[in-house]
Amino acid sequence: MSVRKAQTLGVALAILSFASRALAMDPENPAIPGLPAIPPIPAPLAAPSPQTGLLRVVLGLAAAFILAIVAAHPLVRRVERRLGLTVLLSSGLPFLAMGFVFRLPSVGVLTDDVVSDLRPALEFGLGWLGFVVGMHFDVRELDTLPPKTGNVVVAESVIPFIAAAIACALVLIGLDPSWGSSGGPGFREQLFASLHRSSLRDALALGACAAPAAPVAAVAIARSSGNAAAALINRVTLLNDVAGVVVIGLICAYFRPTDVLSAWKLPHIAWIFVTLGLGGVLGILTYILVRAARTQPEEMALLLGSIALSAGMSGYLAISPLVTCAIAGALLTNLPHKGMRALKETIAQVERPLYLIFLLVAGALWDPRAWQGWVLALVFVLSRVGGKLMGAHVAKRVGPEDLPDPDTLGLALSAQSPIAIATIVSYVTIYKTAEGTNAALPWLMTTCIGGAVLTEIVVQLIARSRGGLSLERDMRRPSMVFSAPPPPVAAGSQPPPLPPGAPLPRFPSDHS
Amino acid sequence: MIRATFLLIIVVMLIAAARSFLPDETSLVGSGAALAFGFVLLAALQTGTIVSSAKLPRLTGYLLCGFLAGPSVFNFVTERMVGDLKLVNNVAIGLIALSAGGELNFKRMRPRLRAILSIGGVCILTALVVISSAVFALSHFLPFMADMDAYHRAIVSLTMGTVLAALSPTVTLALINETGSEGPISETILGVVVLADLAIIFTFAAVNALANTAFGAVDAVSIGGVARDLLVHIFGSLAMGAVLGVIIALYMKKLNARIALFIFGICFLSAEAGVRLHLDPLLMCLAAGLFLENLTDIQGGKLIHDIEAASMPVFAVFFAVAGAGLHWDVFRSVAVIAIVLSLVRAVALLLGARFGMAVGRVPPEQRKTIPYGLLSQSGIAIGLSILVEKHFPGWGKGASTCLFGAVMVNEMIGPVLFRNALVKSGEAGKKEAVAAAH
Repeated sequence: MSVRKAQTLGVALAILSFASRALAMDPENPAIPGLPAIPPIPAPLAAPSPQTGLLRVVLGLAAAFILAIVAAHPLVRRVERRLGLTVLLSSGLPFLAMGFVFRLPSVGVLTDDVVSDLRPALEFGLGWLGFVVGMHFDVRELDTLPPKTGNVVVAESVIPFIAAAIACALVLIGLDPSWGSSGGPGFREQLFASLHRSSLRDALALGACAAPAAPVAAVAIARSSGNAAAALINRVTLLNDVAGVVVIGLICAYFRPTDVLSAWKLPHIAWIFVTLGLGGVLGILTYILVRAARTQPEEMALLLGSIALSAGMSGYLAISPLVTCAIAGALLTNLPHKGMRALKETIAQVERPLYLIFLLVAGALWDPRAWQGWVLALVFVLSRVGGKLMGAHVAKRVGPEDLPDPDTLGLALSAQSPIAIATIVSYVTIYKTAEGTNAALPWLMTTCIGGAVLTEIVVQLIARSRGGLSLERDMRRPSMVFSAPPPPVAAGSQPPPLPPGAPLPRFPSDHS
Repeated sequence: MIRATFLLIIVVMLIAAARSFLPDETSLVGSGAALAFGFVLLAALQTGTIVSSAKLPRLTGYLLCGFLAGPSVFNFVTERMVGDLKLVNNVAIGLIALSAGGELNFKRMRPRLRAILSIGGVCILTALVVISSAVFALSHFLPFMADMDAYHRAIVSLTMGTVLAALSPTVTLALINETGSEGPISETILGVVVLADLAIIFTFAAVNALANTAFGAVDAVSIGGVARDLLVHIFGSLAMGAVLGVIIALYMKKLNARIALFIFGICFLSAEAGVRLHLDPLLMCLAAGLFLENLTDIQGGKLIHDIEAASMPVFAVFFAVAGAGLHWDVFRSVAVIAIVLSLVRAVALLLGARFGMAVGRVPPEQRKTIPYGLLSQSGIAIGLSILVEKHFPGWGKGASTCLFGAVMVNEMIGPVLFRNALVKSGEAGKKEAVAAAH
């Protein structure tokens, strides 16, 4: 690290430190704001006093903004890769925490007004992430994968999904506030009533969050098990993301939010077609628009408009923006367009800052104080990691020969993908609008976010104890928020070797 | 054009379908804003393309699109959605002001400073006198002034005259960008509209204080108090703008990555902070742009080039939202008065510009074009009209209705005349030609 860069980072950190100290200075509550001792969820935000409130909002937003810039800097990314951390633990967690702390009434930075102003960024962020996930689904690349890769994807998606869904369903039923009320119906009726209410749906949503895996360990596997295994696992993580998105799409189609205001009365199956159709139309629309663009600014404007329209329409129809935008992105990436590489670079350029701002808003909407969420988080982590390990054993039997040993594979696929948080935020946003009184919804965010952090810590510890994650040196290129696909490999042939220490490319076209 | 029409139809069908899902009065905060943003952006860009094939400014297309899609006509974008887009609007104002500041190089403008000051000064003075006199003459036909004595009618006329004398830096900059104009005419017009609008802000504050004392209005404060607030407001904004300029300069020198995103964030911060600290985001960003262009070695042109990718969507959404804010019902009720006031304003500005150009010794070949750059109106005039309505509950509503009507006419006609004048002057397209030569 050069002296100048270190100075820049130091200045930024000093500003942040100053801002955070200023934020903590509340004349009415001199202590540094932390988790309040009173468990009930507070009433609507108390407005900060006029004198300190203005300064807090301005300083708080400035701090968030500076942190987003710093966290997106290549230097931070290099540090992430050296330590083998995912974006969630290194940069994402501070943003989530900042969103939560800024929302506290005693801090009062993210007031109702500010959150309301930032709320479209949440929808838009979900749409953008959906596009990124969809754009990884390039059929031409899938054709180059070794035979039996599909088996690995299925094993590593379905088994953790089932394990997490069943375990979480049992805990959710047990935690149902209406459970065991005196004078009620019998055990069996109550069980089915609880399942019918929302426990099954919530458990399925958590199952959907269990499938996606972060790509971080794939780089380490390149050292221990070879490039072919690394490339294969990396591709599996990408397809696991898609699997999670598919499940959340099905949930939103089958369990429609009980919005009595809606003018559309369609059967559940019709909503699947609406979701697919909407994603398809928006994908084609985006394709026609960006193909017609004459300049890069025009392309950027049209892309922004397309993603906003897709995300807005999906949210308006109570469909997950992740799903429709993923379909649109997948369609877009599979249609012929000579400027596709530049388009993907444009999308990638804004990905990380947008993801961090998305996490800031998500943090503001997150209430981690209910203990039930943490109980669920523990169950979720255990069932998910167990499911991933079981899936790895199955995959080793039914998958290609290049796969590493089951323990290494299971461990590599255990770290949670950032898309899992996007999935649960999308789910909670949709159902919270319709069911503001559902007590379990806030738990789910705690489960997923807390689960992601717990998993990451556990995986890091185990991996390091096994010597599977050596600190990386000589990183020339930054890592990305989401996993990168492997280089195209002809069926039956070995992939080209990766240069020592180089991260995997983000898009297949990066190789051309 | 056929492709643009086809795409426009698809986008309209999509929003019509989405809007049919929930009743008209229902809107979702996040999704509603995202939907409105996406629709307005795509539809405005396509309408701009369609309209440009008829040799009209794209900006007119954006306004027209917003007007047709807005609450007045088809109601695809509801009143609430327009409100939800206020963040985009605030950021847009910041970006536009930053670009305007970045275009104004005092060293380069020095030879034209005399012309700019004389045109601006004479125009504003003429417009104030002529429009105020016209409103005073028409006051017997205006119901909200029917019961007033001559003194109070004069005060109201002066207030309305001040609002109508406002020009539009946003429209000017948008059209200069759109037509790729470069040269002395564009620079002179931009300088005039920016300086004239600063003068209008000062004048309005003084007139507002006068009206407060005459009518004993809501929140009435002394003239001294108003002057103090105004000084804090304007010089505070300029000082904060200079700080922003330093931050941007440091960022561009030290980090120099994702500049468009960084500038977007700065504009968002200045919009959020400005509103809360009672500072003007427009002045803050204008000062930041001026600082960068004139006091650092970072050229405003580079900054503008770097944020070009963000400018196009911002301009489209900003003007489409402005179009959605135009209320046909309101206009219909004051159409005759609004058209008369617009004509009077146009005559006053053309006359003022002629005198100003003579005083400022503007070269004859520029004299045919410059006056047409002064006719457009938008954001500032609308903002001042809202203030009139808010501050003076008695007559403010009627006055602001007339003002909105006149602004609507100027907003629609002004850009068309300006674009034609720029094309005829030969400055249109010069920016691309210069860039290609380099």
